[in-house]
Amino acid sequence: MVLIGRYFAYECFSDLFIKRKKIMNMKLKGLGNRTYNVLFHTHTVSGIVISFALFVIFYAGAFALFRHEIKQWENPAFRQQVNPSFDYHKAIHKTDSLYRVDWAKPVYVYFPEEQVPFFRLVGNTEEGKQGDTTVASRRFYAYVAPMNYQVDELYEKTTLSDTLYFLHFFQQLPIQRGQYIAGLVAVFFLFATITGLLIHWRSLFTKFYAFITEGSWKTIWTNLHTVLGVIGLPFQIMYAVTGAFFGILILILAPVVFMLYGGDTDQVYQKISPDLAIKVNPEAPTTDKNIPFTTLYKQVVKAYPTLHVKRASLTNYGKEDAFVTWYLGDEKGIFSDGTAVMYMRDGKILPEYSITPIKKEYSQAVRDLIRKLHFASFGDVMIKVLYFVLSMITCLMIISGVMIWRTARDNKRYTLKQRLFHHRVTKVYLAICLSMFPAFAIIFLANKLVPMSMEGRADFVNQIFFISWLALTILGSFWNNYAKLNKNFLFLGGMLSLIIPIANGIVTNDWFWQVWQTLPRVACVDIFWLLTGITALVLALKVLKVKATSDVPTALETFENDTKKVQTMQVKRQLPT
Amino acid sequence: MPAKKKYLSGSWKRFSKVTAAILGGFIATMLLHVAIIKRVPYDAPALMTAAYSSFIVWVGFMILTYFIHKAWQVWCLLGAISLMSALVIYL
Repeated sequence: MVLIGRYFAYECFSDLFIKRKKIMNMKLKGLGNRTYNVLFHTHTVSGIVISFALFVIFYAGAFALFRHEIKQWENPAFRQQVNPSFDYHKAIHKTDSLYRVDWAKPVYVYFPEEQVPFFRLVGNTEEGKQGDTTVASRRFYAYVAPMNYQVDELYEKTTLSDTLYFLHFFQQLPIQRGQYIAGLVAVFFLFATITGLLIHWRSLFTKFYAFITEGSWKTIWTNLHTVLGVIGLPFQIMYAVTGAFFGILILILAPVVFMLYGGDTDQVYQKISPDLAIKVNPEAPTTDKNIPFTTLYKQVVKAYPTLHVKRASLTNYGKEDAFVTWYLGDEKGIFSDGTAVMYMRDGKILPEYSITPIKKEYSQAVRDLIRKLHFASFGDVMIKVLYFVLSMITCLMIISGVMIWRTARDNKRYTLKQRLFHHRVTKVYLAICLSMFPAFAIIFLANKLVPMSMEGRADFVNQIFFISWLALTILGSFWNNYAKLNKNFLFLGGMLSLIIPIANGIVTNDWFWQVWQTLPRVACVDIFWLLTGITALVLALKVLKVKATSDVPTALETFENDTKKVQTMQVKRQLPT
Repeated sequence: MPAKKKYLSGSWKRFSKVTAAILGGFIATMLLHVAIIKRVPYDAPALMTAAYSSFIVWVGFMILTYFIHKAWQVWCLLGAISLMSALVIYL
């Protein structure tokens, strides 16, 4: 039967088989010997140097894609209905009276949506006198509750999604400017990707089909690295360029601004956001003749029925020259972002200061396009899922690259000291990267288990996360068998993952089988961790087989016996090359 | 698997090449872009293109550095590009 089946399959698809085989064996013109070796070396060096940071960026970034989707899960206060008759004017006034908002600078307001049903204001407080001391201006993040208009700084309560988001460009580092490091890593990632493409160019088609799990470990790691590298190539190049854009755009803009615009940054920013050209007078008289904010909001929503108004910025609110910039857009199109600018006295859209969605100019479209590509805010949630999978593939590619680096150096061409060094680097690298899975499970758990009423709980949750990640890394450094290290972290992460939906159920009483229709985002986070936990446990207990051997390099026999050879090799190594 | 040592250059040349790739490549990229932004009729589209193409060109120069055998040739090439761009900007 099998034979007949095979024969029929061959008869039907022989053409395809032959074609595929032809493509597989197709060779492209490769690099010369010298260039190949030089580029290979630069690929290895740049890859190893950035690998630690790059893994953290892609792993944390993959979770940060769902930054807004997990908001409801992380804070039960967001699990309520949007109030359709919410009075924005009242909310703004209440916030103003509580914080003494500085209206001369733009204040951003975010409209309630299903994910976060709160009306949010982000702005600066006014500098003022309180008793004898002058109170400095500070940034505030006010959340106005949908029903009772209670104003809170919920930002201080939960930071789970923001912690992961900030981690993906190292914002938590003491230097405060982790994004520059992330940007430089992105540039060298582009370098490593292109050199990788060049050195594998000759047999690119063969590599694309090399889904082979046989052979020595070096072959397996190499196949994994190249196959995943080729599959993820467009995604990785896109992220390298957009990542560099967000990280170190200043490096590009600074010379341009100084050489062409005499150091005037406003001129450059006005080209991207024309509404920055509007100047307001902080001394303008206050008036109550302006059209109410809620009326204007309804007017804009009506004017753009296919898009939704996500946020707005208010400048000089309540004064005669008050103006609003409405930020329009959707989660589907790639050019659908735009703005509508109007003075509050007449509510007429000013086209010269606005960016019309879809019909915008090239120079206005670039930044939005890069933003959409980077944050996957197009094509709905499926694109985010696809990005998540591709990010994980990229993580696997990075890890396998390090494994090639080590495996290719674990032979008699290297001294024992060098090989021990390679082993230690690989071990610490694996400990840092693979312990991210249990550490992420821990921050999700800590987010649920630390009581909501606790003072400074967000900082406490962050501390738990970073300390446990450090502790797990140190723990991992004691395991000298890579397979064991992997298995232990998978087991630990799997167990912790399984507790997450239970913890959420007990603490918030929203069990995922009860709320999957009313709160799909909450249920999805729980189900994700449940499935991840089960997969990790199956992998750790059933699939992975750990031999009792250690991966610490030992002196190779040929090396020890042939002392003459050892001496000549050492002499050779000392010679300047 | 690791690259064959005989093709790799010595430490001085290597240092020179790495500097040329990162620093020289950056200077050449920026001067080239500034020259283009200054000379095209509409600066806004060119400026926004530079915001992403700079990274690609920079990496391109880095890789180009390693295609060229001699370090001084790399410096000459990048220097020539920078000088030409500077002339275009300031003349």
